[in-house]
Amino acid sequence: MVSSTAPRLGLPAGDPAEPDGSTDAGLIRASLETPEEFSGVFDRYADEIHAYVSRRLGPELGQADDVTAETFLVAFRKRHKYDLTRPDARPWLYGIAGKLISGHRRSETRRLRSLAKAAGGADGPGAALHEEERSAERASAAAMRPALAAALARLSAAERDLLLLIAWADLTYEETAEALTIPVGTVRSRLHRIRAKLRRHLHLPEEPIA
Amino acid sequence: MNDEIEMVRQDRPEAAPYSREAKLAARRALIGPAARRRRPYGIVLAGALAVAAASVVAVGTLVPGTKDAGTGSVSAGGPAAVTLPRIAKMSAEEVLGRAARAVTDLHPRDDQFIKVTSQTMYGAFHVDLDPRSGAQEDENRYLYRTKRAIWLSADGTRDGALKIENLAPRAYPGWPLPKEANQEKPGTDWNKLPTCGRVSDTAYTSLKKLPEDAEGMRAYLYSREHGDRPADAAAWTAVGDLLRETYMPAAQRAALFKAAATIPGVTVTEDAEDAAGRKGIGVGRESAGVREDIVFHPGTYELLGERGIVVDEKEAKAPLGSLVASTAQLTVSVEDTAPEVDDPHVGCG
Repeated sequence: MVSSTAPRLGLPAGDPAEPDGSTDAGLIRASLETPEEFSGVFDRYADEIHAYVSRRLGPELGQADDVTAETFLVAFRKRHKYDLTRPDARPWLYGIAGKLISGHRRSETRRLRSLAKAAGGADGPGAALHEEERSAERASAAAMRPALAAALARLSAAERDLLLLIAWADLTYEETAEALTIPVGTVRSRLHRIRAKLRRHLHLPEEPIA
Repeated sequence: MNDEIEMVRQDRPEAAPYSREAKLAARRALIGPAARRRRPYGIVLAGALAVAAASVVAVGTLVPGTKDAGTGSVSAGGPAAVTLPRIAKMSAEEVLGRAARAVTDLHPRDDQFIKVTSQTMYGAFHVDLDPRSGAQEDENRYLYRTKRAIWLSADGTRDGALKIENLAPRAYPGWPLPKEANQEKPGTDWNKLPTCGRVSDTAYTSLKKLPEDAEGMRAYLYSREHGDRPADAAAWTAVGDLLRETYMPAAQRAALFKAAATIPGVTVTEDAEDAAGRKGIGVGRESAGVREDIVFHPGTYELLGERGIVVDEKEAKAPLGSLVASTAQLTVSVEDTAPEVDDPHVGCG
């Protein structure tokens, strides 16, 4: 680890690729010697990561705040392992966030279930929901179609991770592959399977998910 | 043929707003002093002989400072004990159990501050990377040393202060003293530690909420996020993080010591010396070729300091047995106020 009191890194000053350390890789490289530089990465992507995490975990209990903070702390601690040939750090950050979201899988599934029930299933609207589930409903102004939420809840965590990086975080297939450290071909084949699953589930929208 | 995915995309839920407060807290956690202090021993190296000599000198200069005023002062910097108990056959669990029974409590009021003074020596680690490939081209190391005093609000609601006095850097064994070491300017830095509306995990009142039983505390140690580090190593790191420049309430400290003893790989070393030259019992765990010891006072088992000893020459890139990190927690006391620090560079915005 790098000492905060250590002098600046002896990097070539005029690196043509990154004249002012303006790529993410440049910032991360600078942060190896001067940890404070990493705040530049935070400033660039904190809002975006937070938005993604809050879409997946919902607004309640400050979970998105916690997961976002953790994402950047983990990134900071792992920054010496960052592949500096990759100028864009977004896929890496989303990959870390995705792993942390997996740790909150129960919250995510509960959220999706509550969204699925929001339209009024067999139990009636919110009849058997706990308070936090009700607040999740209220907070999701643009609630997903219940059937879609139900279908998402039925995907495996890994499938949901991949699908939502593409659909909600707007990552390309290549970036998704980078985030999940899997080959692009695997992204395509998994996505194919996910689509098939969604198709199947969406045709049975009223099927109970619990 | 992306209909289903397009559907998911269209039905994207609203993102929750990111409150300014939460964002600042996250940013501060990232670059604040707490983050910078969390410096694993694994990468630091030291010259055993040079450092041992330094420790002896340090006693003379540091001990007078331990007579800290303030209500309910607990001095961890008392006279160095020379008589060690016979612990050769004692297990880590026994030592930690005894430490747990020896705890005292300062009982600070919510509006007071915990003041901790310490002396530290850690490795400064300097790498040159190829700008294209990121491959390592050059490396040098040295040891930087400081004296620190930190004031932290007991309930985490008041801004704290941190005073850092730079001491002369030292070479590190097997490595020449690099020119970078000379750029370490002697002098004293004052830092403001703003709360920015967030109560730190290591504020006294936060620590007081931790489990009071070993099992619960153990679960807490293992529940902390640890990235890709092995769980046992991370749990051990968490023990040090909870004790370093903090004041653990007695019940939680007892639970923490007992929980620490159950972490696989924990060992006991007699005759461990802290940065002030005080001898104690080292309870440690190996990580990256370095055994990280927490050093306890042999009589009371209060926290004296921490040290890192090379146990795997190849992995640590340093001679076997060399001291690669050494700290001493000199005093812990309760004060009514923290020094006002005018620090224009630190703020919540």
